[in-house]
Order: sequence, then C-alpha cells, then structure tokens
Amino acid sequence: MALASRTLKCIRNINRNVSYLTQHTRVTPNRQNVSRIICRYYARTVLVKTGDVAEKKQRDPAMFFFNDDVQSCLLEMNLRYASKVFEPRKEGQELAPAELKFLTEEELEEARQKAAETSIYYLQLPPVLQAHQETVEILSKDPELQGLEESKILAIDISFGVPDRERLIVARDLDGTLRHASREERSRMIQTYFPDPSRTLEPPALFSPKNLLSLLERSEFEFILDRACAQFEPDDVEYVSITSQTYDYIEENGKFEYLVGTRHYGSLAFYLAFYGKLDRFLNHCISSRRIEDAVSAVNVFYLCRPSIVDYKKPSSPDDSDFIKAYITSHAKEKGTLSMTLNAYLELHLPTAADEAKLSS
Amino acid sequence: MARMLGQLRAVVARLNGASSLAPLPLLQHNLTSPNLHQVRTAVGAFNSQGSDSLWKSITIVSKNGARRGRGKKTNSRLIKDLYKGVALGTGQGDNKMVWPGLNTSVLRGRQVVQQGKMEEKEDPNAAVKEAKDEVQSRRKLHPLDRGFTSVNVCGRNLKNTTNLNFHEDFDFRVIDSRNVSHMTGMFGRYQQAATVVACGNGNGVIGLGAGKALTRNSSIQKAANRAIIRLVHVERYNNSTVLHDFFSQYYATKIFVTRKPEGYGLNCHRVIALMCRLIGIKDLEATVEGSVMPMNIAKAFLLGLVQQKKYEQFAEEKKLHVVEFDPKRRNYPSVLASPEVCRSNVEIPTSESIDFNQHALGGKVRFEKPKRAPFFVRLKGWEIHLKRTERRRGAKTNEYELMAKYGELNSFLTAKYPEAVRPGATPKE
Repeated sequence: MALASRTLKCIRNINRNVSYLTQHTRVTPNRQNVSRIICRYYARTVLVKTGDVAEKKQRDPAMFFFNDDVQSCLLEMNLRYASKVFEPRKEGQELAPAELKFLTEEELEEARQKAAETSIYYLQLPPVLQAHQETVEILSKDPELQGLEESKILAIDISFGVPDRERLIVARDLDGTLRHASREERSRMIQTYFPDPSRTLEPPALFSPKNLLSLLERSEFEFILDRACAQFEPDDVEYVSITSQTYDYIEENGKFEYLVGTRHYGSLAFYLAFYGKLDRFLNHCISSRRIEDAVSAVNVFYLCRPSIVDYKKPSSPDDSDFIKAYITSHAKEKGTLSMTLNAYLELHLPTAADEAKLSS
Repeated sequence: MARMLGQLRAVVARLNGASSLAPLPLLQHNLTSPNLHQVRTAVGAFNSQGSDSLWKSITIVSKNGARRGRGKKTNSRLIKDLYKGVALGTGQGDNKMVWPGLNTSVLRGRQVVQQGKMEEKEDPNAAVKEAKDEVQSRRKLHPLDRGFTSVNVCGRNLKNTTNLNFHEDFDFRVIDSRNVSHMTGMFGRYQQAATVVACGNGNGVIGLGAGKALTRNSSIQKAANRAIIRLVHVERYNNSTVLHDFFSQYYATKIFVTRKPEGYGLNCHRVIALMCRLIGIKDLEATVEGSVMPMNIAKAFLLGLVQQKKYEQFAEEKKLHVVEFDPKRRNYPSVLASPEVCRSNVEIPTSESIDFNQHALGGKVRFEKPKRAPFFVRLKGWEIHLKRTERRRGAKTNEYELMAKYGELNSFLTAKYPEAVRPGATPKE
C-alpha cells in the first residue's frame, strides 16, 4: 500500500500532462511516458536487494518485468478496460449519497483528468518476481552474552522517513549472535511500529492451502490477488507462491475473463508469457475479440526471450499476421489456435467483396 | 357462465352431501318416489339463477333477524368463491386431455406436444376441494398489507381486505379515513365517512383521490375511482430515488426531501413511505415540519415530486454541466446534463453561488438540529466507567484474533502453562 501511494505521488509530481481517459478509455498519447515512470520507480524499490540477477541459474522475471517496453505493453493491456475501475465494488464501505455539482467546462476537464489518474493508480501492475532468497547476515558473534536473556531480542531503527526496505532491523539470538533480522522478523517489526491498516500481523487464514483452494474453486481470483498484494511484499515467498497458484489455476480452467479490467490482468499476461503458457490465454483473447491483448502478450513473450531475434514487430495493435507467425513457430497447440484465429478473421475482417460493396 | 357452473357444481355437491347423511332405505325410497320430479325442477332453478343470488338464498337473514344481530358475522364467512383455481375444459377423472397451447405449452424442448390423454393424475380442481374442506377462519394477511394499525383502514392493501372493485394493475391504499359531519335543517347532524385513497403502479405513476359517502366502503370506492382518473407521472433517478433534494409546502405542512443512495431505504413519515412504495421510490429521507394532516402531507409531497426539475433544466438555468460524483464509483464524474453553451470560470461572478443543493432548495437552508448528548455524560459515574473500561477496549477483537489463530480462546502462553486456565474452564491434559 505504501509502495502504491508513493508511486502515485511520483506520478503526480513528475507527470502533470497525463491526458484524460474518456468514459470508454481509448489510447492516450503519453501512456508510455507514464509507464516508464512507474516501472522505474518499482525497479528502484524492488531491485534494491535483488542484486546481480544475471548470476543466478534460473531466469529472473524481474529482469524483464521492469523493462520499459514490457511495462508499456502490460499497462496498455490494463488501461484498455479502465472504465471497469469505476464500476461499483462491494468493499464494505458505508453508504454515502452521490454528490451533484455544477461544473464549468474547465472544471469538468480537471475532474476527468483526476479520474484518469485514479484509473492509472488502481491499474498499477503488481510485480511478478522471484521469491527472495533468505541469507543470514551476521554482524558479530559474542558468545559471552550467551544465557543472558531468555528470548531473542529484536531492535529497530524507527527514525522518520526511512523506506521500510532500507530500515535497519537487527536481532540478538540466545547464543549471543548479532545478525540482520530475517524477512519474517522484519515484516513483524515494521507492522508493529508502522502499522498498515490493510495488513495483519500474521497472514490471514484465507492463505492456508485448504481455504485458498476453496476460494479458487469459487473463482474469487481478484479477491485473493488483491489481498495478497496488500499483505505481502512482492518478492515474499508466500506472495510468489499464492499468485503463481492463482495464475496457474486461471490458466488451467480458462477463467481469464475474471481478471479483465483489474490491475492483475497485465501481470497475469506477463506470468504466462514469461513461463511460456500463453496458448490458452491467446485462444481466449482471440475468441472473445480482444485481439489487441493477444498482440501485446505475444510481444511480451518475445521481449522476455532476447535469444529469439528473427521475428517481425507488430505493424498495428491488432496485427493478426504477428500472431500467426507466433503460432507457426512457438505455439504448443498450433491446431486449436490457428483455427480460432481463422474463425476470428473470417467473422471480423471485411472480405474483398465487402470492400467493393462499401466503395461503390 | 363457467363461473356459475363452478358454483353450481359446488352447491349440488353440498346438497348431495347433505342427502347422503339420510338413512339408506329412505334414499332408495326417494329415488323411486315421485319426489324425484321435484328435485329436477330444483336443478332447473339452479341453472337459471346467478351464483350471487344462490348464495344469498342460503345466507339470507330476515329483517327482524338482522335487527337482532343474526347472521352478522357468519354470513360473510359462509360465502366462498368455489370457482377459485378451477381448470375447465381439461376433462374429468381419467379422461383428462392434453390440449397443446391451451392447457400445456406447444413445445416441450424441441418436440411439438401432441393432443392426447393426460398422463399425470393431478387434480386440476384440487383447489376447489380444498376450499370446500377448509375450516372457516379469519384470513391471515401479509404484514405489509395489514396497514398502519389494527384500528382503522389506513395503509391497508384494499385489494386483499375488501370486496370492492379496483383497477387490476394498480395498488390501492388508504391514506386517511375519518368520520365527518355537518348540521342540516332537515336531518340535523349529517354524518359521512371521508377517505383519501392513493393508487400507484410501482413504476412512476401515482394518483390521489378523496371521497365522501354515507358508508366507509362506498367512500373508499368513490375515492379509489377518483384516484385512478387523476394519475400523474413522477420522475425518478435510477428507479430508486428522487432527482434532487427539494422543499415543498402545502398550507401548514412543510416537507424537506433528501435523495439517498441505493440500499438506504425509506426514512420518512408513514404516509410519504406509503406513497413512495406506490410510486416505486426505494431510497429517500424526508422530514415533515408543521401540520401532519395525512392528506396535506400527501399533497405537499406529490406537489414537490411533480415540481422536480430535470437535470437538463438545471444545466440550462445555470449554463453549467450537472455532474454526479458517486463515491461507490470512485467519484467518477458522470455528466447528467450539459447546456447548449457552457460558461467558463471567468464568466461566473464571485457573488454567484454554484452549490447544486442550495439551488435545488431555492435558497432555503435546512436547520440540522444538533444531537443532544445524553444526560449521564455530565455525571461523575460516567467518567469512572470510562476509566474502568478503557483497558478492555481492544479485548473483543483480540479474542477473535486468538480464536482464529488457535481454534479456541488460547494464547502463546497456553502451551507453556497448560495448568493455568480461565475460571470455569476445564484444564488441558
């Protein structure tokens, strides 16, 4: 939450010329600019401790997720359905009457701009990262302090204005070792001294495997992902496992429409593109006439694989040839996908006869 | 005709039932006796008479009897509508027929239903049999149909509680019912019943009517007949509330009406709530000041509703956009109406108020009475109570959290000290 609000502040401060989205939210000219700012900000906050990712054996999604081109692709996917942000949600808020106002043209413009900012704020992409590797950093070993206390002691620096990730928290173990606090200890101390109302000290019971499965079966994907976003840091082990479980469940059951218009839509697409599970998602996008999303997702697929060089960039946001090329060279379910694409093209593209009729 | 036949069948069944009580030899005797002829003529009489007069012949009480109070209560209960729920033309017993398009649907799935014998043995006249066997008792009314109080007819659903004639598509309710009188030279004190009836279809149409007559029922009928010919259409917002806050006055009755979000309900005088239900307004708050005479409240409210301005009108008056900010929609500015030419910020003089509510209320400002603190807040005991309970202020939430974590009311100390239990609880093993 803190991260999100800081990001919003960043957007507001730096970029004053965000053009507004109308009710149907079409393409905005400065979107790439905005996305770049957001992703840079994320990159700054999250990559602080990830270190040199290239050294690790496994491919790290963070290397590609914060790429400017990937971010603009994903954010574009999210912002395509920005009007959904303004649909009523049941969040337990109190009933308040709608306010009626007289506005001049300028004030209306301003209000719309504010709404556009709101939609960008609520459609920020939750990062898709690798789980953080826990390492114990020992500061000093003082065996003479052994047996002095009955429990370990945690100490936190509570000075004002230090980001939570950089805050100094140390632990003195029973055997006298002074070390940096572990992930769990850190989150506990920070929640104790700087409580975030959307978080609880202990992760709620809904994240237990049994309850999570029941939630998944009830298709409460947005609820799970929102709650996980609020409770955990994006590179938390539990966050990574919960989100990947949810994304996988959605992919297996083809329930992509539940995330359309939410902030998790772009992240889902990135997850699927990065781990090469894009086929069903593309099938769904094409059959539900969202070919632009399919193009963006395939684009992300290529961006995450710098080794693939011989591909043509999409000429337009709904370039079907781009998808066709992907299907022939990289898709696993070639038959189904090309059938869906052909059906879409037959139904939605004007034939030569139609064009002749229109021109005459 | 069919209706009469139904009634007749019932009456015949009743007569047969009565005769079956007679001893068997007598019945046999009757069948062979010349009296049979008379029975036939009686059936002829049933055919020529309407059901109303047939019922009357059974339930009639002589004038002298009526004066003594005979049949005062029982008569109305004796009369039953035996035609209720009777299905005609389907055949009887085993000869029930299927007539596609008449008593069944033409298509069942994709197949066309064929005419033929009906398979299921369900009796279409079961409702009649039930009505015959039914023990006579007072009809139970739905709580919303019972009216404001049990004493008078106000607020009652007239269709369910009276035998008068009303328009089918409208709901009829009494708003006010009184006895009025004046003095005449001929009759002295001349008493009449005066009633105000409102009718509505629950979809934006309402009518008000007042009637005076010698009996209450006839005054209700008169008022209802007037209400149904004086219908007006009322504008609503999203079929849920009024367009804007307004003030309205009729003689000494003053009403302030506030629009409310969906799900709020009706928070107002019962007469206004009744009218809202008839119109189809679901969420509204209204306060009545001054006289609370039901008819005048109804008139003042209706006047205010009819005089509501549309958003386009507001926009044209002010030459500004009318925009709604709904917190449920994250305060998205949805434009309700726009003027042809909109003014800019420079064109609005500083003296002009552009508050929408103030404009809608015509410059009137409602006095919100501050809520008075209860008397005990001033006492010393209250302070002591607050001090005493302060340390327990988070106890309940804490309890819930612990129960969620450990499955019961335990803490991290329970494992360490299993013998330490709360008073009254059994120790752990």
